[in-house]
Amino acid sequence: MEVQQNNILEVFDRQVPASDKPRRELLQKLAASGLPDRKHEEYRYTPVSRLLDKEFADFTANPATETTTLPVAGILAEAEQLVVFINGEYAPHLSRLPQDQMIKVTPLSSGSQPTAWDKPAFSDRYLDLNRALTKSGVQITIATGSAPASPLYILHLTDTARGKVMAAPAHYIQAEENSQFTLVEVFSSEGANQGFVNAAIHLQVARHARLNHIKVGLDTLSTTRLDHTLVQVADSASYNTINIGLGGRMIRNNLYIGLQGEHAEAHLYGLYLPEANGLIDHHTAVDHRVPHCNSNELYKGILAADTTGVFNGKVFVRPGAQKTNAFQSNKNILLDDSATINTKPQLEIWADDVKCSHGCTTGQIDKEQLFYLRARGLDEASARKLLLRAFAEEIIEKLAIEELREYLEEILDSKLPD
Amino acid sequence: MSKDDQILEEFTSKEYEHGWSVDLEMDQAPKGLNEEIIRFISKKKEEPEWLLEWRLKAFRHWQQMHEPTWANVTYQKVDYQDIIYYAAPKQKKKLNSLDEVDPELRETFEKLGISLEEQKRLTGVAVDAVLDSVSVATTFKETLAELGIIFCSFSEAVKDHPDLVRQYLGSVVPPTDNFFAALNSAVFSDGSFCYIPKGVHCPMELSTYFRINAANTGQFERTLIIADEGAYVSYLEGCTAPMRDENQLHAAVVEIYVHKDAEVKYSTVQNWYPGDKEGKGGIYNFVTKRGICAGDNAKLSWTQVETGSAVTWKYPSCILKGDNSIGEFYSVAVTNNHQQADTGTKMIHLGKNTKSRIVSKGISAGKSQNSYRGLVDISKRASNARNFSQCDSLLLGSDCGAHTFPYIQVKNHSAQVEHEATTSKIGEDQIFYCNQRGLDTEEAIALIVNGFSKEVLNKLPMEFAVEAQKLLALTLEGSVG
Repeated sequence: MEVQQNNILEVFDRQVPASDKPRRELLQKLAASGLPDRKHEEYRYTPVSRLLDKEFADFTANPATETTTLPVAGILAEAEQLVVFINGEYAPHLSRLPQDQMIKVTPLSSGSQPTAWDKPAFSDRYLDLNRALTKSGVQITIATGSAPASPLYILHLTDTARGKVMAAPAHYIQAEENSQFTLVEVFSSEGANQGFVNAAIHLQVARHARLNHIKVGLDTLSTTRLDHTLVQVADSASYNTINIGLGGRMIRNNLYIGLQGEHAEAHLYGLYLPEANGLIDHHTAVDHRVPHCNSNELYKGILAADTTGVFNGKVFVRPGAQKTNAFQSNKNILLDDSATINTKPQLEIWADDVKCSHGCTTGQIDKEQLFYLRARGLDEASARKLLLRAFAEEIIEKLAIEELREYLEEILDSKLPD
Repeated sequence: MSKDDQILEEFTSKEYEHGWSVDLEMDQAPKGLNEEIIRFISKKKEEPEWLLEWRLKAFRHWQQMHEPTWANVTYQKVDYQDIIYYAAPKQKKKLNSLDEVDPELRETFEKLGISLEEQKRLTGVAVDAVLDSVSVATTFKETLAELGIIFCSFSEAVKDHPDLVRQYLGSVVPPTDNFFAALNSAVFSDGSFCYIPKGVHCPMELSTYFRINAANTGQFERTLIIADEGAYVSYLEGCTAPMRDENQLHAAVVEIYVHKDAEVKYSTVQNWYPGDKEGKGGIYNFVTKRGICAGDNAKLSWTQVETGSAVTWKYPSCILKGDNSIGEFYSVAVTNNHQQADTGTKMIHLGKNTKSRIVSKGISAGKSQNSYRGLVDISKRASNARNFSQCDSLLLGSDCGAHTFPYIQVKNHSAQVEHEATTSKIGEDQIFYCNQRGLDTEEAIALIVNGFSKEVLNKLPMEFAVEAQKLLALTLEGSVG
C-alpha cells in the first residue's frame, strides 16, 4: 500500500530535538507508515490527518497564555482536588492537589512513562504520536484500601486566543487494591484559533478496586481532539466510564479496556451531541482476555443538522475466555437529513461458552410517544424536547456527582433544538 | 470424553460425501492468463467483437488491481497463472430430450440425487445443468418459450439475444467493480441467462446446477437475470463439487436487474468441497452477487444456505434505487473443521420508502471461523427507509470463532435502522430440557440447530428446502439428524 505523505509530520519533527533518540525513532516510524487516512479501516470516517495537513502546516510553537480564570467555574471553582493543564502544560497556580495520603499526585514534567507500566494490547498511530510528542502529564496513585470521598478533576484547557495550539498530555492512573475512586476529566477550549489535542490516559485498576472515570467534552468548533484511554482491569475489579461529548470540530475517542483478571467488570456509557459542522467519533474496544468477565456498553447519540456521529464498538472474546457476558448497544436519533451517523458494532468471538449480544438502532423520535404527549396538551416543540431529554437522561442519570449532572443537564437543555 | 465431545468429534470427522469425479473428455485452454487466453476463450465461444473488447478492457483493469485483504480470512494466495481458464466437455450437440445427454454425465447427477428426470417428473423444475462451464441440457425450454421467457446458457444468449446481453451485462456489477469481478469479466466461461418479459409470472422455479469437475479449472460463471416490468421469477442455484487436494478458485458473478413492479427471488444452496479435516484442499469461493431494484415497487430477495467451500467471500447485495422497493437477505452459513466464511450483504437504500431485511444465521464448529460482514447504507434522499438486521451466531466447540462486522451508515433522519446480533452456544439447559423429554443429546442438537436456522430455511422454495435440510444434516452429521 502506498504511504500517505503527511506534511504535518515535518511540523511534528520540529518539536522533538535530535538528541531525543527514542522519540525521534517513533517519529521516523510514523513518517515511514504515514498517519491513518480515509483508507484505513479505523479512520475511514474521521479524516484527522487531512485536517491536520490542511490547518497545522504553519504551526511553530504554542503561544504563551495568560489565562487565570477557570472555565466551567460552577463546578471547578468548588472542586476540592483539581489538576489543571493549559495547552498541554501543567498549571500549578490553578491546581489544587490533594492534601491527604490517599491520593498521590505527581506531575510528570518530562512526560516520560513511569517504569513498570505494562503496554496494553492496543496500537494506534496517533497514540504513538502522543508518545513522541508528550511533554507533560500527571501520575496519580490511589492508595491500597482507600476511598477518597471527593472526586479528582483534571482540566484540559486549550486556549487559542493568541495562536494555534498543539497539546499531547499523557497521564498514568493507578488504583491500587481495594481502592475506590472517581476521576473526572474535563476538556474545554476557548479562543478563535485552531487547537489540536492528542491526549492519552493510561489506567490500571488493581484487584478488587473500583474506578469511576467521567469524561466531559466541552470543546468548541476550533478544537480537534484525539483522546486515547487505555485501561487494564485486574480480577474482581471494576471500571466504569461515562463519556459526555457536547462539542468540538473533530473529536475522536479511542477507548480500550482489557479485562485481565477473572470476574473483572467494565461498564461503558456514552452520550454524544456534536455541534453543527462538528464530528464526534467513539471507537471502543472491550477485550475479554480471561473467563468470567462481564461488560456492558451503552452509547447514545443525538445528531442535529450538519453533525456527524461515528461509533465503532468492538467486543473481543479471546480463546479460552469462557463464561463471558458481553452486551453492547448503540442508539442514535437523527434530527435532520444533513446529519450523518456511521456505526459499526463489532463482535469477534473465539470462545463458545459465552453470551454476547449487540444492538444498534438509528431512527427519529417515536411518533406514538409524540402523540401521547401532544394528547396531554404539550405543543410539538416541547414534546420533542422532552423526549430527547429523556433519551439523553438514560446516560446523564448515571452520573453520581450531583452538581456535575445538574450542570450538564442545563447545557443539554440549551443545546437541544426548540 | 463426554457425550457432547463425542458427538462433536463424530461430526467433525465426517468426510465429504460428494467427493468423486467423472472422467469426461475435456477441451481445455493452456494454463495461465494473458490477452491470448482471453482471445482464445472468446474465439472458442464464437463471441462477437464487442464482447471480446469488453473482456480485454476488464482484463487490463484487473492487471492494475490488487487482491483484497480486508476480509477476515487467511488462505494460501492463488497463483493466477497456474489456472486453466477454459475447460468444456467436448460434446456440444443441441439436445431436445434427456436421452441425448451423455450417460456418464447423467450418472453424475444421479449420484448427487438431483437426476434431471426426477427433477423434471416430480418437481416441474426446469434444469439448466452446467457442468464445467458449458450447458449440456436444458429442459422445459419450450414451455418457457411460449411465455416469452428466455432461460438459456450465457453463450447461447450472446448468440441469440445479443442486444439484451449487451444492454444489461455489467450494468449491476461493472467489470471494474472489484478484483474478482474484474477477473470474472475477463475470463468468464459460461453461466446462465434469464429474461422474464413484461407482466409474466414465471410458472416454475428456474434452476441451475453448477459443478466444478476438471482438476485445476477455475470456475468463472456469469449469471444475468432480468425481470422486466411486473414480472416474477424464482431462481434456484445449487452446487456440489468433487474432492480435490489442490485449492480451486471460484470467482462467479451474478447480476440481477429488477424493473418496476417486478420481483426476483434468488436462492442458493452451496456445498462445495470444504477441504479435509486438516484444512487441506477445498474451494475458494470468491463471488460477487448483486441485484438492483431499478424501478419503483421492485423486490429482490436473496436466500442462501452455505455449507461448503474452504474459504467463502460472498456478499449478495441489493441496490434499492426505485421508490418503495424491497431488498431481503436470508442466510444460513455453516462452517466446520478449518472452513472460513466471511459473508453477509449490502443494502444500499437510494429510493424513498425502501425497505430491507437481513436475517443471518452463522453456525461454527471445529476450528472454523464464521464472519458476518454487512453494510446498510441510507442515502440522503431515501426518506422513510427502513432496515432490520438480525445476525445470530451459534458456536459448537471451543476452538471455533464467530465474528460480526455490521456497517451502518445513515444520512436521512426519517430512516429507521435496527441491528441486533447475538452469539451463544447451545445451552446446557436447552439440552437438558430435551433429554428430559426423551430426546438423546444428538437429537436435541439437531432440533436446536434446525430451529435456529428455521427462519431462513422457511424462505427457500419447497423443492429446495428439502435439499437444504439434507445438506445441513450432512454437514452436521453425527450431531444433527
